[in-house]
Amino acid sequence: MRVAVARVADFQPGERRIVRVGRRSIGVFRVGDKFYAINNHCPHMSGPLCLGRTLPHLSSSGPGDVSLAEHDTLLACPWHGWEYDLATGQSFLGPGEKPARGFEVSVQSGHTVSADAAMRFPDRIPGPYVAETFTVRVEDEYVIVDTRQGGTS
Amino acid sequence: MIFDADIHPTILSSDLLSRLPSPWRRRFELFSTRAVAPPMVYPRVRNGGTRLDSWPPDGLPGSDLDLLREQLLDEYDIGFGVLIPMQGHTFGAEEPEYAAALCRALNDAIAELFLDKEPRLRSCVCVPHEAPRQAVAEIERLAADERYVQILLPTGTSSPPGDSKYLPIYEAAAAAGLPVAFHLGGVEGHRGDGWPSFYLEQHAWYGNSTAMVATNLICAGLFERVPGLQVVLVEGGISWAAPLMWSLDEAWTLLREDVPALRRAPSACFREHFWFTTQPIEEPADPAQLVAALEHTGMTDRIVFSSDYPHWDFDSPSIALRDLPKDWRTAIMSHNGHRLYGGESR
Repeated sequence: MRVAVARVADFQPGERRIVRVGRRSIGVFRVGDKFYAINNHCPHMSGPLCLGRTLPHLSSSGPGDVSLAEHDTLLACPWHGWEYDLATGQSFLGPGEKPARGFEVSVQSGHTVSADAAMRFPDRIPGPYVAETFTVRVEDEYVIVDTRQGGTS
Repeated sequence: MIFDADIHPTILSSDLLSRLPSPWRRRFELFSTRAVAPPMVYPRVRNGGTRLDSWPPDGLPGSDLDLLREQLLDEYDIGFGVLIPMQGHTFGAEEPEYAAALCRALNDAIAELFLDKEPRLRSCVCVPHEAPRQAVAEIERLAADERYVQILLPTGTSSPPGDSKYLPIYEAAAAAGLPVAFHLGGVEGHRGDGWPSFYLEQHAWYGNSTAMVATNLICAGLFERVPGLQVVLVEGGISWAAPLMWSLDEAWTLLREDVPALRRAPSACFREHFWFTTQPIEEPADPAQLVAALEHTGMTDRIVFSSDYPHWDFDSPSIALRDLPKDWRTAIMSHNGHRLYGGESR
């Protein structure tokens, strides 16, 4: 099912819209010039995920050094605070210790990197939950959410 | 019908003020009440310790009946919800006449703003617990109103809860046919190990203060003195209960002359007089371990579901306890609450 969410011009960066698509409630988020769509249902305890706060990824290389990512791409469930990557729906626990071992290096397509939660947030531990995400496209100045296939394009 | 034994309402200051007589209204305006103890002072995890979506446009989480209906009673088809007004924990510890006026205003506000408008809700009699004479008067004032299903006390009473000072409250509760519910809080000490350093410690071990209440009431011989009394342990976990009963029984076998008022095995008192609510029930990675822990208590017929709405650690009635055996879950969601509090007729 395809649903027009809004005109692009009416949907400013940092805004969100929650739309009903068939029986689903879906949150569409504009982050910079990118759009993301994620199921308004937290896989932990069925909370209304898309009513939660968004936040940027926070990283630190050591004491005294803190850097915030430019855009809010994490979404925290308003109930228990599980945090989800808007792009992949992957949940995350807190910061993790990097394992002291050798790493493999490879060259992958951009699409693969985007979908690999561990590569997007290498200093955090993936959690047990994955929220459903959907494709969002801009067509003829309209933001269109499409539930026929998962994953944000 | 689903029973929810722990819903937290909030009465806004303006709604209290209008129900407080002079001179207490002026005192509340000028000085308010004493501050809450460290449970509320720790930095809370998110959103003031409440669900982010439970904040109404005007007011505080738990202050808006329509939102409570929408997010809890209607959403999960809860037929019987017990309000636990935590403001009573601090109000009840003020000096006697002020405490009595505050608790009376609180109970009346709950009745007018929640109970009169919503037949699915019940509440507790909040009492000036450090002033038992006034507490008994408040119990007697409201005992005939069947919408009040229990007396509420905090775990953090000024003296240990089995102290003879509080005996009139327990006697009045039993005379009214009402259980006493203990909920974590109050302005006095965090019994057991004292105040922990971090919220995480306290949250993971609410059972500590709760276990101290159960132990103290049993060892004080309270249930020999007030055999009709039932006690509900709200929001304190459950899995610790069986090992505690084992230890108490063994100690009683060896040391019973120390507590001559206690004439039966502590575990027998525990199983005949106590009830539990579920949230925050312990959730081991292997659910079979929780099933075993609950089985050891011998009290699965005395556990009542609770959501803890609108707090951040809310348990959804449709998701929680799914790993328990089906007949246990059915009893916990419904039958046990029916036995404890009565059903539709109340």
